Amino acid sequence: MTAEALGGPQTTLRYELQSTPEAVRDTLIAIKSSLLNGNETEVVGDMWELVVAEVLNNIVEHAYSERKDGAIEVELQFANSHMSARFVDYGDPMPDGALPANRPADIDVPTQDLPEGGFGWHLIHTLSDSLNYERRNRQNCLFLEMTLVPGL
Amino acid sequence: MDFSTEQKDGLEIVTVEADRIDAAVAINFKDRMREMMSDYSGRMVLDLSKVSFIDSSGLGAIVAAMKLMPATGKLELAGLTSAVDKVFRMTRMDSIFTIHASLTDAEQHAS
Repeated sequence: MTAEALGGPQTTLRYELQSTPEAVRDTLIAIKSSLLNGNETEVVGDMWELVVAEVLNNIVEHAYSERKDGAIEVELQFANSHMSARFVDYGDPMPDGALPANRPADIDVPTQDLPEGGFGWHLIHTLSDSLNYERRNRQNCLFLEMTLVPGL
Repeated sequence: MDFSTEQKDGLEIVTVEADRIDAAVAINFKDRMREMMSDYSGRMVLDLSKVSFIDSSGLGAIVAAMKLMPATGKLELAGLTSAVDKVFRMTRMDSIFTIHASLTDAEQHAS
């Protein structure tokens, strides 16, 4: 995992990581550490971490089908209660070439039928203001915009 | 994934000794919970007060743990931190679990 941080009135962070859950975790911890060093953690709140985690987990599990040798690139810009994110990977395209829909899991079922997965895209859609997916030259590119609420 | 356990007033308290329940540890969490719950039939409270982050994998692992409780048992949650609580609310899983603000509340709550 490598990182670059640029200064200025906004914070831009770039990471390259391998497609493993451990690398995802390390990247999230590194982002938080960079934001802490810039005294920005209170301003940006918590929910950016969940959104970034869900997108990265999805790339690991589906674009790379849990192969550990895939490359993922993330660029995040934090400024003025807003986060812009770009995710690039070189794995399989989204099914049907499109973003999964915002479909909340059905929990009005007996206990033994409760879902143990399928929550991720609903969380991503709920928390983000916009989401755009492009397939370019064997790359998946996901662009995400999110409003950040201090303390939330 | 480490846990500590305590029996108190007929309650089994299982404290998660980790600050993240995420994709990196979700399977391990489920396996460890399965070991701990295999014989248990009373009230069990999962103390999440040290957990500052869960993702949907972590949520799924907690749901899986609940489904492992035998019909006579009951899995409750206590001490959800703000970010963890939000994940439960956004997925409406807060309506599925009994959630206590703290262990003290769980201990005082009659089953």
